Amino acid sequence: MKLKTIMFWASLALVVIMACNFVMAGKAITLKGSDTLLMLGQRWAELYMQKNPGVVIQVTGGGSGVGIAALINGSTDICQASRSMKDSERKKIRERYFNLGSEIPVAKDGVTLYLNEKNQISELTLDQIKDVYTGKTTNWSQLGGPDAKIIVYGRENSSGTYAFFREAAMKNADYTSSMQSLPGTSAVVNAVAKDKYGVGFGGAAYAKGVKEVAIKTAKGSFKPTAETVKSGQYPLSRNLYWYVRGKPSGEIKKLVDWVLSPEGQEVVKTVGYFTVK
Amino acid sequence: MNKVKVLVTSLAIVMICQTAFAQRSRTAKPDTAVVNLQQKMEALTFQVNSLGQELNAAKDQLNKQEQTPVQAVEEKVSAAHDKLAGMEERMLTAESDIGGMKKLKVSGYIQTRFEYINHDRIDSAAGFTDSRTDSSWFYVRRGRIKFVYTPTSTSQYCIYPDFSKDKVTLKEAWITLTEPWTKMKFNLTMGQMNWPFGVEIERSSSVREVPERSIMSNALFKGERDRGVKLNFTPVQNLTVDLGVYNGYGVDNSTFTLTDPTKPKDFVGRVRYDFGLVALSGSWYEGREKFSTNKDSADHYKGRMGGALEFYHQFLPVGGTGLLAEVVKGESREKEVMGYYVMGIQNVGERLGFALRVDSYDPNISSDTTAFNTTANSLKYDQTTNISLAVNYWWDAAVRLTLALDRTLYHTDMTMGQDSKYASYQDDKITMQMQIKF
Repeated sequence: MKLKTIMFWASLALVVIMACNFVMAGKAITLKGSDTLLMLGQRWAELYMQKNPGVVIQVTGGGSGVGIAALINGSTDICQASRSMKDSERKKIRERYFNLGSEIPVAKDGVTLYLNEKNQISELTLDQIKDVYTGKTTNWSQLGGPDAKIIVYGRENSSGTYAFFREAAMKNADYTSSMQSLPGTSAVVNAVAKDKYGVGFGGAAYAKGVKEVAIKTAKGSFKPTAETVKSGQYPLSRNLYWYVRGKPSGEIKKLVDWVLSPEGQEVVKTVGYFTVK
Repeated sequence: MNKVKVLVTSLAIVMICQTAFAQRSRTAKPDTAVVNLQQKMEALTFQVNSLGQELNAAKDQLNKQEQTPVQAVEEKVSAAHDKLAGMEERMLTAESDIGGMKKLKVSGYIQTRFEYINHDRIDSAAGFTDSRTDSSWFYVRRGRIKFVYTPTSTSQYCIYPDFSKDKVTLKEAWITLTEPWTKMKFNLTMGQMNWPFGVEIERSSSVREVPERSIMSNALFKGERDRGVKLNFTPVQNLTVDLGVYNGYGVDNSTFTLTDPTKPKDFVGRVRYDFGLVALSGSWYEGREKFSTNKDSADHYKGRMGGALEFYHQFLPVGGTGLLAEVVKGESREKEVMGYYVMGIQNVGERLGFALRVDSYDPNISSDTTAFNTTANSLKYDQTTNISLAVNYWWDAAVRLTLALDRTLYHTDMTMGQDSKYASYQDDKITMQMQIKF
């Protein structure tokens, strides 16, 4: 058989496979990643689909790390992340798609330390928080509270909030082995709401039924509010991101533009986070 | 005095007698009214006792009625608590097990291929019939599983077997120690691993856009791996340095499979700066080698210097563009050698990608390639330049389909002469490949 004949039939086979795959491919826009952004992503999706009946958006959580992995392997269109992408993750994007991807800040957040509402403590320094989460401080009496063991709740290591808190609050120290890792911020809030001696952390929007702790700095004591988060006075302020492969285009670009519009940013405030501008 | 005693004694006797008499009289003759009264009293007492008993029974009943729901709930709560405690214990055990499993990362890929090779020019131009009969064939090119275990942030272990073709081979096995004290992140790795040279050697075929590495890499770094020790660190952000000491023969060397007959070891070094969209690296290799197993045979110098450029950017709205280029010059088998490749890649959408590569290798740049049919050069062939065109299609997140054409643009053979499209087993090859990566 001649070379040209083989090449022709092989090319034809590839084209047929590509065509079948294209026809079978789903049309929905998929958002995957951060549990912190799950609630906000769902709200955005609901409103956007109401306004654009032909568009289907599927939103799932799993953690920022899971979302970034899905973005790299192509199983999600948009990754929701509560932390910046690591260099190693950018390299994987680059290796596969020949660009560094697009990082789009879609909201701001102040990672909040949750206490039970009966807990008398209302403010802590970052060093005190670090000592609690590294296991150096184990009793509330060491922080001016009752003589009771501190029950430490946190997130799993696939969580962007886990990574951000470790970097920003704990200066990259290791979490105490006694920390109970829970799947999702809601689980952390529920645990602290029921546990008089519990402590947890997560996005500001989830702080319902628990006490928000003010963080004491040299400039004062700050709770996560729109002002303190945007000005950076609140020490655990951060951006919440959407990541896409390459430059956004088509339906994804329309969705991104809407999320960043005043209407989309109004949803951010409704859910309990802070606008990017 | 005696009179008083007598008087008192008498009085006592009288009183005792009177008491005794009175008792005997009452027993012997009870008063009827008193008896009746006593009977009534006894009857009343019995009735009171009965009522008391009934009252107590009623109270018990009432208490029971009041306590039953509470006790039942308490019992249920207690049972649920016990169950929850049991589940919590099981969950903690499961969490611990999963935590252990998370430290083990298993990845791998399988490549299955069909290859068609055109022999026409060999038969006609070389004037003899090629003895091979396998001009097209199916085979399993790769079947690899990589196990990387990271028990702590300061150590990592890897074992990486390959199950492809007709045997199982060990591709990598190494241990890395990471120091936790400095920001330079020193990693010391010992075992069997990639040579830290250039870009293409460490770039797995699971991500490569064309079916095979360049001729240059296959000739100078056969097998891509060797046994040795490597130090990797980051002196400043985005700059990485690798320094290694190796046996020097590689894992695919058929003469020196496991041993290194040269006492001096080979040294490798690489510096790479990654700007994000652009990365530049320079590499250096120096060592000694024997050509035969004769223990008295001489050691020969070998060395390579290399430079590489990686460039990535999305120029077109349809997808990202990549450019990879690498050049190596050095000395091997007492000849000056030189090779290079340039590869451009363009993605169209997120599933389709095109790649075009030109690669060339000259194992004896000092020789006169026009002086054919000479025995002056011990090498069988001289310069080869190939062009490769590949189309890649990502079926889903795990599977990639590849269709590629490799053509020899220029080839010289010292024994057969020069032809612009000449005898090489890589001549005009069509590759169809399916790959799954996990």
